[in-house]
Amino acid sequence: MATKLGGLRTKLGSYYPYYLIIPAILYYIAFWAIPAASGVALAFQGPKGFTLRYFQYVIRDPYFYQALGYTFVFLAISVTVEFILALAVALLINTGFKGASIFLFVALIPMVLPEISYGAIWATGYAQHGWLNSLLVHVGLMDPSQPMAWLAYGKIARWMALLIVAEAWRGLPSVMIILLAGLQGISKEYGEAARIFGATGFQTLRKITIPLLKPSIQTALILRAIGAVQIFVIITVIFGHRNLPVLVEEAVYYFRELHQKQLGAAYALIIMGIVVTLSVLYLWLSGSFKGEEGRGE
Amino acid sequence: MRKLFAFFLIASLVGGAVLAETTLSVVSRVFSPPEEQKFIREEIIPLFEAENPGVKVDFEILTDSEMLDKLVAQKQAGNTTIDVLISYVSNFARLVEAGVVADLTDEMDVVAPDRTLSAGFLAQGQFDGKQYFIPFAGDDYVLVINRAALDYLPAGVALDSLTYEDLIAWLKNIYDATGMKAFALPGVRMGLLTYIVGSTILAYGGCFPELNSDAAQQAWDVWYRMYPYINDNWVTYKMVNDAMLREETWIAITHVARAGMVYLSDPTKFTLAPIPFGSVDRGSVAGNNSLALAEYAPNRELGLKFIEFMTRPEIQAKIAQGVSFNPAVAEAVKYIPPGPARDIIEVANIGMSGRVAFIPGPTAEGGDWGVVKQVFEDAFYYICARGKGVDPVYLDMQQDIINMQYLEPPCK
Amino acid sequence: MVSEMALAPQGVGVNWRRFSGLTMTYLAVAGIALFILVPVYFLFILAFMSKAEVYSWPLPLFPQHFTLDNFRFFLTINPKIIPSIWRSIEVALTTILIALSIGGLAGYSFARFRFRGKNALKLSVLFVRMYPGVAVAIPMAVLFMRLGLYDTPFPIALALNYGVGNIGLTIWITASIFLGINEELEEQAMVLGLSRMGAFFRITLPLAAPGLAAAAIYTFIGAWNEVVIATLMTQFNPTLAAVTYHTVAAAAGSLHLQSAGGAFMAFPALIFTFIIKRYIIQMWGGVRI
Repeated sequence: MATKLGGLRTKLGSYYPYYLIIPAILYYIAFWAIPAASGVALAFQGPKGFTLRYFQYVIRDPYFYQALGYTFVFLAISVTVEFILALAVALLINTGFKGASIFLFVALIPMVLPEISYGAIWATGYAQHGWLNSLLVHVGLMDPSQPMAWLAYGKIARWMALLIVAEAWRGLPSVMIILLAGLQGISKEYGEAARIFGATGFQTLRKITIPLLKPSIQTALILRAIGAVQIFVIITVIFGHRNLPVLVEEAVYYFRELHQKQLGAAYALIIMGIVVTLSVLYLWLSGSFKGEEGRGE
Repeated sequence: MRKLFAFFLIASLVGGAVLAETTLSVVSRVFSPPEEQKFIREEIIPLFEAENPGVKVDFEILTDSEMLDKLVAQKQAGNTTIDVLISYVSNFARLVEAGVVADLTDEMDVVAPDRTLSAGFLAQGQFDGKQYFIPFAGDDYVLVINRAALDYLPAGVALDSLTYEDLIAWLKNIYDATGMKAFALPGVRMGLLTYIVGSTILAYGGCFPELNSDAAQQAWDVWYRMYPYINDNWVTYKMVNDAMLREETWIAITHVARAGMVYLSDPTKFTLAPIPFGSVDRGSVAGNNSLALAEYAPNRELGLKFIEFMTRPEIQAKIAQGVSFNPAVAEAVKYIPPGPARDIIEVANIGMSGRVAFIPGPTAEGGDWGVVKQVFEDAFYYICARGKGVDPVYLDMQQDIINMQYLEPPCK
Repeated sequence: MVSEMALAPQGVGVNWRRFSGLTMTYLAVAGIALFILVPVYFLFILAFMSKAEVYSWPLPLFPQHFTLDNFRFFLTINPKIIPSIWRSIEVALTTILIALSIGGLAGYSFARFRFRGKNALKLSVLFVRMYPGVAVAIPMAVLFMRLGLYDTPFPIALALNYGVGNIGLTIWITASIFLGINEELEEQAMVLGLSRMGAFFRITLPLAAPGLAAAAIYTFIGAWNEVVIATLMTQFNPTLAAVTYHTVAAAAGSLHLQSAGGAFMAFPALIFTFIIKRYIIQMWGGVRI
């Protein structure tokens, strides 16, 4: 029996790690790769065989560029907002103040609600006679005869802000959970050592906590970004199709409403391509490709 | 924990084994509001089950795309479980094209004996001379009004002889007095907007779906002038019900079933009126809800029986009272007692007495009604929302797109 | 926080550092809690109002006529609602089983070992998530139908389907967690005589528990709420999400009923989350070496 982990690794042969992964791989091949492949094939299936025309259509479609723009703006702002909020919440909870466990539960609630409720809440919230305006009236901040039309046509910036608020509300727990789980893996010793050496809370945060938290932050950011790029249901429920075009919503629009399956499939492929590129770029920039290390990613 | 798991497993297996009777699967995109669903499940279906002992009807609401997707997927997998479907005319062509509905031409005696089905609706359900769809409920467009708005009605104008010009003046009165943009337009894409504008075009003597004729241009001008009084949130209105019930808006033109729902929620607060007159007559696009038998239905005979049941005049009358649709069977009216339900139908019928058009299914290969709707919606944005006004050149271009969905232009 | 307080200067007058630290904390907590709870509050009270009240303007902050009718209606409108609750639980638990076992193993492998093709595999796991689910939904449904798994009383097809998304997520979360757990702990345990497996179960797993709990929550909620695939893949044996969607979600002019349906669906999910959250908290006092 080897005493060092490294020794054990080479002794058992380098196949051990693969054994652990094979179930996952097989699972994916069977239940995802095969259906996905047929979805991908669809994007190239013209009436007369292999064709690229659907991609050409997408590239020439002005809505595509609008959707691209909006999706990215949304992505950038909402992920940033969510990350800051989630980090704040995670740090707060981690301090273990009295009532922190209740606060944790509260922070998880938005994640728990079904999609239908989520859409209904914000659609009725932003309606002219909805609960947001009602609340503002009760508090005296709004005149009941002049309720604000949050969803008025043509106010794209306002819509974007509304969307970001709604999504931040919903996405906060997802990010927070990952960060919190990571925080709890960080030994308190680090924080105490820093304190002994006279670091302020903020310095501790910057120099110690965040670097230690890097794997979790990375996971959270990427997952959230992937989710953000694919946003669509909430937009359709509140704003309807095409009023605030975003990528997946366009794909679904072609797919479901206009019954252009190939066009929808082409869109889906393009979306995936964009997300893959982004992720690879991010991972490369953050140095995750430095050797195939077991740690330090 | 493991015991709990095993318990659930066994419980569900047992539950599944209990289904010893025959189950007739009916899927519908109509009757989606919960009250309507409850009505069908509790008032209509038990009657059918009573007539057919040992039969249980499984009634499920699906959206248009779910229904199509499911039928197609089931067909591809060789395992169809759906027997009867209830769908709206805008989906007929696609369903036929996908090959998932059965040809009922030879079964007309079985499904509709001794009754007069609306000829126009029957024609909508025919493709290549074969009858696929059996109409059972029709709809057209009406005005639904919050009584608070009546105070601002222009002098000398009566609700049952309202014209579009009167409507604009009325909305202006409300706006000037209260600052409220009182008209609700369902602006969400792929919604009812196309049919509402189309109804206006009909009222000015035009044809549907032709949006560049002289008559159509007059209609567009009406909407251009009405636009300042359309509630700012219109692009997010999928159906106008919520807006009307919340009193964000006071007036709307909408599908009779939706209007009926608003009206019935409080007949003292709301009222109905027939769709307004244009320069030629009233106009309304009419659609129909029909039953069809799934091509590979596992319970074919039972399915046919169900279709026959739904077109029976007494049942038609009952449905019309419960859900504010127009019966498609002429004899049904005899069975409806006076009351709010009857009022709704009568208002709708007045609209049907004007210039009525049906939705022409696209005939060209790859033609899609969704494209037609998109064109109308885009035109509305262009002319009204972005304020470009009535632009004949633009309209001609858009009409070309519409015409491409058909082998021959649907108008003229 | 505690150590900070202990080290704070016992100076003149109020200990500002301690005071402001706590106040700031509570202020921040209150602000965020309010942000989260206000919309939820409205969702729930709308469920207890009558239709007339739900549409009144301005919306009352508390129902004048508190009513349970909406819930009653929701539960009776469709006979399938009660059985569907069981089915949703079954799907969720099965999916967790699949995701944690398969995903956890793979995550451990990614965290601890280096091997060829690792980065490629890591990316491909992520890759799956990047492909919009909508495009895969129908081919997946057809696949399961062909396997004879359509609309089974025990919703195995749904669990398998949800597993796809959740395994990937679990792999990422667990890899990240295992990375945070010092490898030397396992080494020391093995020096002391435990096998690799033993080290894993006695040392690593308990430390990883918060992360695993996080993955479990995600999986449960996802499976519980998922509606697109559920509606495609079921007919006579739907999950709660599917039935609720078909019963009340699409309803315009029935906001009170939509809210009742949504609130009802949220209850079990909230309870599960509450239980799991305690599990995460317990780990605070956990092993620290």
